[in-house]
Amino acid sequence: MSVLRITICLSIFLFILWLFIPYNSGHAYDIEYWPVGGSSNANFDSAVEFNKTSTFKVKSTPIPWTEHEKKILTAILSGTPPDIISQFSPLKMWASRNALIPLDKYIQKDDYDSTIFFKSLWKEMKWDGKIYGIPINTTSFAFFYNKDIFDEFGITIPPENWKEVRKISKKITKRNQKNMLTQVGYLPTYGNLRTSNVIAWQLGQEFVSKDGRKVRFNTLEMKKSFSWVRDYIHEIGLNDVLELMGTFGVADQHGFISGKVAMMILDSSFPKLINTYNPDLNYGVINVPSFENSESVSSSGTWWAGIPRNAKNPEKAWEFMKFLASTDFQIEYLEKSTESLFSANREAAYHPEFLVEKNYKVFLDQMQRSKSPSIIPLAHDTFWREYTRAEERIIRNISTMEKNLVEAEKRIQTELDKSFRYYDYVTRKLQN
Amino acid sequence: MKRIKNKTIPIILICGAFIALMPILWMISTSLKDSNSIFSFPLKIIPDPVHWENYSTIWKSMPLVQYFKNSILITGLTIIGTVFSSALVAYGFSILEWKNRDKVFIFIIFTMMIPLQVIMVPVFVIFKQLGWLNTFKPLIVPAFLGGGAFNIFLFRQFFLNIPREIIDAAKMDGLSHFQIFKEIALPISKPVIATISILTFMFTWNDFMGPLIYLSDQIKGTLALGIMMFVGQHQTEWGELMAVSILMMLPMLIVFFVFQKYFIRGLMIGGSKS
Amino acid sequence: MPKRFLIFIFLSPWIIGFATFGIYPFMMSLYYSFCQYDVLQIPMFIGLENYKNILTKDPYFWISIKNTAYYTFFRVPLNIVGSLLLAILLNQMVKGIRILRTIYFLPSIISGVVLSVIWMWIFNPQIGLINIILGFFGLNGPLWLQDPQWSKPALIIMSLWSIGGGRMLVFLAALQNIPKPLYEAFEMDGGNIYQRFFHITLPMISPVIFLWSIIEVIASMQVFTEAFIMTKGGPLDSTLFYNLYLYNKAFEDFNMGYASALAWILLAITLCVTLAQFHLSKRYVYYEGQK
Repeated sequence: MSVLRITICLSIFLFILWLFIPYNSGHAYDIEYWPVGGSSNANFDSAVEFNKTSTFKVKSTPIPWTEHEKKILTAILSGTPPDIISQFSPLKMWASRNALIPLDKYIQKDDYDSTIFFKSLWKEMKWDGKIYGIPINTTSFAFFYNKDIFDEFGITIPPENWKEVRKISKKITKRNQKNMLTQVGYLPTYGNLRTSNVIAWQLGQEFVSKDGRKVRFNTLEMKKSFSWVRDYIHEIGLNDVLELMGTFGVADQHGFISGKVAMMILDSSFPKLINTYNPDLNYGVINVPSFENSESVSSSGTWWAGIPRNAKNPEKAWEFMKFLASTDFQIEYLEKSTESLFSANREAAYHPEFLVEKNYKVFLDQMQRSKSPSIIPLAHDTFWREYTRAEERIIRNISTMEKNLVEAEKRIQTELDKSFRYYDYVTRKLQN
Repeated sequence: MKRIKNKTIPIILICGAFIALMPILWMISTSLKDSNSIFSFPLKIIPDPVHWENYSTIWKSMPLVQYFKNSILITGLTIIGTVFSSALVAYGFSILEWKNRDKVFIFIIFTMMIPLQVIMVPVFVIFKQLGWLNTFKPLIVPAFLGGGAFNIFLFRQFFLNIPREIIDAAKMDGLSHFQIFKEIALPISKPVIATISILTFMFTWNDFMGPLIYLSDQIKGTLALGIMMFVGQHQTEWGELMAVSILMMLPMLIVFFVFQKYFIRGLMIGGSKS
Repeated sequence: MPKRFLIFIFLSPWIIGFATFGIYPFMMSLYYSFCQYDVLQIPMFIGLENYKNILTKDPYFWISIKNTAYYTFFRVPLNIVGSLLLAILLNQMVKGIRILRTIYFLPSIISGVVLSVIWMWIFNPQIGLINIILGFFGLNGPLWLQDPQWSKPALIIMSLWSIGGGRMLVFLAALQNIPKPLYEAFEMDGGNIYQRFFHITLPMISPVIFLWSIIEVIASMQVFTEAFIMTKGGPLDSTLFYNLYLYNKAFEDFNMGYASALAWILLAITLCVTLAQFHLSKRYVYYEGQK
């Protein structure tokens, strides 16, 4: 064999050998934590902080945001799940499916003080009379407005209610030579917190009965809310609005950040985003406008931590969970983390050093008026899908408002009934 | 006629090549940008300044080297298993003749038609019972068990095209079917082997669903799984995402370029005896 | 060696594979289709309720079938013809052909997530590549992914970008397997290029085209990733494809039972379509090695 051949064979052999060298995983650990993260979380590892002062070790294995629910699902199915998981999707969706361990006995043993959390967030942790998780972080929505555009049109007082928003918006709208919109005051269908949702809440809409089993969608409040949104959009021009919205993107192509939309409901991560992509933007943050005489309202989902069913070390997991939610750690986290989240822990959130930031106080105030987006937990995705669909159809004048609402309500109710029937069945079986 | 065609065809091909390249150029340019200026308009193809650090920070953001090793290991073994087992099974459905052969083959196609989403859970349960969770086995072993209906299909079509005379001649020379398989069928099907290798490489290299649900230790992850970490709830690290994606493309390009020699014209079966 | 045993040996990998990883999942998914099941808890038997609901009370089922049919109907022929043409053009042994083939191959090896992101940018109505180019010709491009009428065409265009991928490779291999003597004989008989294509080339590669159209139809009916990442089924359900709807039901609504019923209905539809294709193939496909 020639020298060349020998070299090639040898290198291939060594390469294959190298492939099989095992990785040195380092220290042993006692419990496993699966936070959900993008790489921006990589700079600050809660497990590392905890391990500094604790008697046992936590290993933190971040899982990708896309498909994290599937991964957690299969992990629980495998019978060997991590000891702690952290999620943003409504806790009740998991608690009602027997995926988590109830925490009441640990709470009672430690006499845990749950009043340190925002009331609405702690309520989210309850299912069927038991507690299944601890809230860690949250976001808060508030009303952003572009001060430069306001100055340009001589508007000195930011809007307090939706009527004023509409008035201001009419003044601010700009079009180009082709009569296409280049700047608009407010777009009720743009953004993660739907204006129709906010207005409906402000009008007193209750989407579901007290026992959670009956859906109420075809109501006067919804009709009023959707009408307001539809009329608003048609006043500007439906096609013009759709065209403009089609040009929005992420980062510096975001409608508000790029200056195309002068007013918008945005969450508390936006000050950082604006600073990154358009630092010269001069903006203000105020409470979400009210509808006539109602109160301002907002929405806050929660990142919560829970212990999956069949976890091997629930007691140790509980210790780590308490640490995650503790005031000291939360303060440190908010200082060092690159994500702009709010603490679910009231004491940490109201820490003086954060109150210095001028817009922070508004977000904090909105938190007190927050409602949960997990409106119908046992039919969560169906609810929002039907909601979105109904709104889209109403705005485009497809079919009648009554028909759209009735159909949506019927379909959500069907899913909800199925979910409850299943839930009752499984509960009965487990009791036997 | 011929002269016109000689000029227009290359022009068309080059224009097309440019169209094919453009988004790739965007990928490269994005990987060299700072995350703030990625979506700016007007578009800057050549970033200014050039941010090479994306290519260095990615090594810290995730255990790239280990992921690379894992990806190569899984992909390599999968290719070997797929090629050999699908060739074997395809032989049984083409060169060999038996009653109801084609009906059974249609049944195999049938199995290709069920969406992965619904058999995912029962398959997961099987692997759990076998104790193979958190290992590479669920990702590799199925490749050795038939290699997928699709690849069997490919080989079968190819084998069916081998002229009867060659097979009969070999049988008359006293060769067993195993020998025919080894000496005739396999060597002749080099283009198919090359194609299936490339296709399997592409699919396995980029597959993240399997590693996602079967591997719980982070260190066992693959490159395809690793890049998912750059996509966050509020923010995506575009620069690093593109940088890793480009690096991921390189091994496949090399494999493709090298395997191209099997597409040499003249590898013919009819007409000349081997 | 007895023939039956021989056959068994050759087929053994597939037999083992199917026995262990095929039968059980198949049967279980069929069972789940008759249940309400959320993966985390025990299944509840409800008989044919899922099927009844799908076929009578579910508007999304029909919408998704329409969308998937539309997509398949346009995507499959366009892609097959495109790859075939490309394969013919690239079937020359000239200098630099390897580089050209590699360039055309590149788009198909980019992972689904990255690809979707790139194309979301290309289809941006204001700053995306396509509308800018159209602007040079004085045309006002549509809203593409934000427009219910253009969202599916946009995805089909996106699929065309990968015509240089595996499919073309297979066609290339098939083209190169056409025996040279056939061509030589034809030229001696004085045929021109077009006749040569339709009388020699096409029939000789018809098995491969047939094969690929079956695969392409099956794959097309299971389209998922692009819609999942780029449009999430919108706008106005215009890209709600069957497999996406199935996924939503399985993993977002936690209704694996319903999703399994959807899967089996898809299987039935695909089977009919494939059998129809097999039937047609008897007329149009030519096998060299068969008696």
